[in-house]
Amino acid sequence: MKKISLLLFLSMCFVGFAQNKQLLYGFSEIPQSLQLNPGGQITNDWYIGIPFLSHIHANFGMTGLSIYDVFADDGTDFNTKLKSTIYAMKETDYFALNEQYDLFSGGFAFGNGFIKNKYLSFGMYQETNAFIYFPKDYAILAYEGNHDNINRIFDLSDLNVSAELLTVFHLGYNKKVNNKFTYGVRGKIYSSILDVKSINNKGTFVTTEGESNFLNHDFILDLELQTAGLKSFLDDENSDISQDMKTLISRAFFGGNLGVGVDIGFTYKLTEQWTLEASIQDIGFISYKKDVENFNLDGNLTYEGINPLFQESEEGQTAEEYWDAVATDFEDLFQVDTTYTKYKTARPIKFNAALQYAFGKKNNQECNCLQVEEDYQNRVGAHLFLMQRPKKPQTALTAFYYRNLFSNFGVKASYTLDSYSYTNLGLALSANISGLHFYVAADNLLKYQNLAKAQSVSLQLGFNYIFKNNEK
Amino acid sequence: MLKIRVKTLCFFCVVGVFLSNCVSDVDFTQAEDFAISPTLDTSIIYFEEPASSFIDENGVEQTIVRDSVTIEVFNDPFTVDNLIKATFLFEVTNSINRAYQAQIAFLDDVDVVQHSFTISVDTSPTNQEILVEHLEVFENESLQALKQTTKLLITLTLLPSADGSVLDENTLGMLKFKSKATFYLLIDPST
Repeated sequence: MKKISLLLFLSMCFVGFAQNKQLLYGFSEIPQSLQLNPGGQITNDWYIGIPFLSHIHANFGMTGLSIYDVFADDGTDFNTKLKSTIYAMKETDYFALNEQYDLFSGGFAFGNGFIKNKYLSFGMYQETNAFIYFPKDYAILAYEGNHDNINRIFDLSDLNVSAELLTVFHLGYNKKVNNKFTYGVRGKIYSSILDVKSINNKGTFVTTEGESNFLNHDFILDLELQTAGLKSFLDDENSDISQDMKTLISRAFFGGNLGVGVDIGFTYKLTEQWTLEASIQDIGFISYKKDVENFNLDGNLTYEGINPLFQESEEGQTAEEYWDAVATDFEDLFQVDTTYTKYKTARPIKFNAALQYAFGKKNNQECNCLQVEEDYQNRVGAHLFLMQRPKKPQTALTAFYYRNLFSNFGVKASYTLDSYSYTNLGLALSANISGLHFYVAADNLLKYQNLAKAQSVSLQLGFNYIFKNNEK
Repeated sequence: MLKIRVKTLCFFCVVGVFLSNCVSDVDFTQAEDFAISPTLDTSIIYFEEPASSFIDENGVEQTIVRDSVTIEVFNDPFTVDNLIKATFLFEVTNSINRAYQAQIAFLDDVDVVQHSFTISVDTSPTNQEILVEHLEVFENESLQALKQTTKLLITLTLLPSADGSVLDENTLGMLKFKSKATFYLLIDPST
């Protein structure tokens, strides 16, 4: 019990994640930006991601604390630091973790005309998400107990945890309608390997001054844990890991709990220099039908103590029976019911929008004989990210500057304001050397000197092979 | 092309310098010091009875009321490991014209008394409330006794009156009994 609580706490400290990819969004030189906005601008004729390496994304975030706050080697007592951190945190603080990597991805332009104005992209990626709100009232109860908290209502809804492992197969269609407007849509099939969530908890625990006795304890419990994909691993008799791996792989390839979703997006050139783009990702759901096991804790109890000497209860009840009844009340209260009810969960919807202004055409000293229109070398703009979370949406606002250094080499710098910090500087780089394309993006660069102080870090990188007709 | 390479190289050098110094001044072994010390309060026994409750169906005064309750929480391994102190607070209020004694005995699983104490409350000739508080602190030896306890035996004794009078249906007054326990825990996973 105590070990579990410590483990839980430490794992909470370790990693949490956000899903903002502010550096990648709108970075049209990177093909994977099309996964954030299916209606993004296309800058290649086809591309193929290097398998397993085309997109690697890791992102963690935590609000209210950093690892340094708790584990700083500063001579201060560990429990003092832990306590002050816990007391400073709120129930809306959270730990989030998001990891993604492409198994494969690719895309190609097509169309009947001379200029191919349609683009099909596809791929499959694996994703891990964990999101945990800080269970403030549980932490205070564990820290202090109820002794100094008479009349304090402990809110049991503070427990809000979810974690999942899934794969996503996707197919996107992008159409450049004219020079101003491009739209796109991406269909997704989710295959959930594992899903664990406890996000619909309700209830309170309060100790008040009693009437017949010193204290009155009031329990109102309505807690629920839903799992899909976990039971068969916990229950299985075999200790054969290869068997478990087989199960995992089959679930990854449409053998898990399935769901469908869609992304939509567009790019609109307001003027030659002003561009607006926006997208909504993951409008969809997963239906959990296989390997489902749910746990419920449901019950109310008011307890003032026991009256073994003069039971006023039913006639003829012996003291032993009376005591059994009290014990049964408590057992019922904490009785965990197991159900196998299917459930369906909407995917957390993500919204991105960016407005950018392009300027500074390349001063071409050579004769532009082909009359090819030169792109602007600089882009500056603002980006908004919103993501649905159980308690309130996660938001981030980014200002960015993009510079095309050479025809095949671009950098983007960002400054992000979000719930983690106000000092988040990021940098992305995209280089295309003879078709081999590499990109890397990382934020919170100021914290890289000591990552322990970072409240969030996001990193994306990948390799593609990109082919452009106009560069032949 | 060369220019690109130089710039790329510079970029990776800068990133490398950042990363080489990634996490510093942090000591994760401190987690071994993790300990919390919650204090829990819980109600235990109570009753509130008129004088007539001490008369049986034949109208005869009952001088002893006794019962036991099985309590498994004191010798639960979690309690044994983490309980560092406990206090039991009792409050007896008497407005009956008779003196009482309440004896609380702590019995282990073979019914051997590990610990016991008695609370006495005086007679109340004018039916005024007489209040007696008793705080029993469990530390050291008595704490060990508590950790072996699986049963509480409560014996309420009605002491004889000075004038030989006995209780009847019309005797005035109440006997009230309240109690709560406070458990001081120290949860230290490293011990």
